[in-house]
Amino acid sequence: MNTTELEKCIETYGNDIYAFCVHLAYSQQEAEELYQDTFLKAMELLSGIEAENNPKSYLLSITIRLWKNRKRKYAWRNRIAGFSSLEEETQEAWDVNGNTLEEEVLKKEQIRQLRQAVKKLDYKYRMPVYLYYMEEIPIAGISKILKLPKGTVKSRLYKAREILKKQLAAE
Amino acid sequence: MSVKIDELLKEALIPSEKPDAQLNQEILRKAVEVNNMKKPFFKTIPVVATIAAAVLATGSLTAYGAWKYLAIEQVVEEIGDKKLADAFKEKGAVNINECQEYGDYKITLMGTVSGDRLSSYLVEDDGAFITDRTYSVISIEKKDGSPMTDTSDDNYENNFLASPFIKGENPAFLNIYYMDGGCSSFVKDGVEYRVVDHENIEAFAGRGVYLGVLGSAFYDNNAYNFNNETGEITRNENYEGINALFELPLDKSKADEAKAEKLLAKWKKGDSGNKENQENTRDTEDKMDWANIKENCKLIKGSAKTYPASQYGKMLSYSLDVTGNSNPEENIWSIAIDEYFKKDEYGTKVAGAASNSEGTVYIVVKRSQNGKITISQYQ
Repeated sequence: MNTTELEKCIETYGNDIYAFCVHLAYSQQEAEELYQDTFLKAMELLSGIEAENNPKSYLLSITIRLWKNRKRKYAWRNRIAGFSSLEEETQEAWDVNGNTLEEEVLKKEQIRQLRQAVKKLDYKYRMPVYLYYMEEIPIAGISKILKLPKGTVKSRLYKAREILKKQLAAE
Repeated sequence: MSVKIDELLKEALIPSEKPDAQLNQEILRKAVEVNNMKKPFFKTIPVVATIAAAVLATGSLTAYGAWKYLAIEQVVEEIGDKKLADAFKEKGAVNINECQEYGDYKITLMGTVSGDRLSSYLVEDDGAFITDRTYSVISIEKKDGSPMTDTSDDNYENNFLASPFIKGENPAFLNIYYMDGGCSSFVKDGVEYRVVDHENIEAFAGRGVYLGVLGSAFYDNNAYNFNNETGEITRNENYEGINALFELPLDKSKADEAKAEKLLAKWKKGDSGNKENQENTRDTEDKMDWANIKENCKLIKGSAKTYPASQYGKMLSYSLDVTGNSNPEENIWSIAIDEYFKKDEYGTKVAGAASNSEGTVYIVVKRSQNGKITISQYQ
């Protein structure tokens, strides 16, 4: 992949990959590094991305692999510090639609709780949730990215929803 | 509620974060740098040539073989599974050692073994332990003798997929992804070894079973031909990548059509976390009842964690680091006490188990009369 092709790739998939990195990583800096590394690695793996029917899935699988490697190197310390700053930033991104102020505040709070609950899910449940709801990857695609049978992806999504429902009800 | 949670999740997880334009520019700048970097030229003496020289000098082919390759049980011991290594020494194990060469690689199917509870590690899928499994060991090396990238190297790319295929079933729709498959790999002396495992496929011995090795991390539809009429699976000779295909010599006396049909139905349904599995889990957990554990196991010091009564009905996080997993997040278990105790129920129950090479660790949950919850580990 030459730089022009890379630029096009970033233009097309950059936002999706970046949002995914932000949710995976524990700090803004780590998210940016992960995002950067994903595209540089994709450029190295020229044949892979060309052969894939779905470059976005391919890029996401690179992100996941890099993230797993990074996590081994990063200490826990990044986690607590990173969480709060990211939450604050992302909360500001919510728009107010036509609802009443009270409804809007309630919904905003529910969404905030849900995002936090997703962050706290076990890895095995959290990853399919991000890929399915945030990246809109179909079950078959998630199965390929995570190297899991489709049935397992489905049941993990189901279980994740059940856990999240319970947590929301308990809040 | 399920519609609501679906909608809420979609809304909550809309990708709202965008990369800074400067960040994108930085990537492009680095990309240009990488492209402009000239790689240093190293003239490598292929390992094969070195080996040939050694063989000529010593005149001993055996010595060369022993130096370069691990024996099948050594491979399995290397992944820390002594129990499985022992299984490969037993009568039911099959030593194959068949080589195929494609592109730059030489792939060897070293051997296979099948059976229930052969491994020190329990494979869990959505709470169900899948203990009846088939294990195959393969090695992958470069034909020019240059070493394979070490799996711990940052540049390691998982570019191979080993998967069983069943004669009569299109491998595109029935491969290791559907069989609760897994793989452990490492590189030793420049050779990559892989221990591939999945649900026991001996029941298909009457039909014919293959092991395919592809040069990509995912299944590639172009790698193999499937004949709809005969059910034969063959290599696509025009395929440019790696598409090794071995016949797995399974014990024909283990062929069991009824079991095979049941497995196929389960895999095709794609529901490995179905009710049947959940019932199996419950069976397994019933067998590891508290009375039995109390009598035969000891509390692991420092493992007990207490939660107030108010936590009943919530998901409790509990850290369990027994599998040597370096990812702390993957060692966190979420336990809902109300799954084990009804509102007015108290006592002690077993919530699950995890295994490593040193044995099994049981998670025990206790709900006292005052509602206090304690989670601890026994071994």
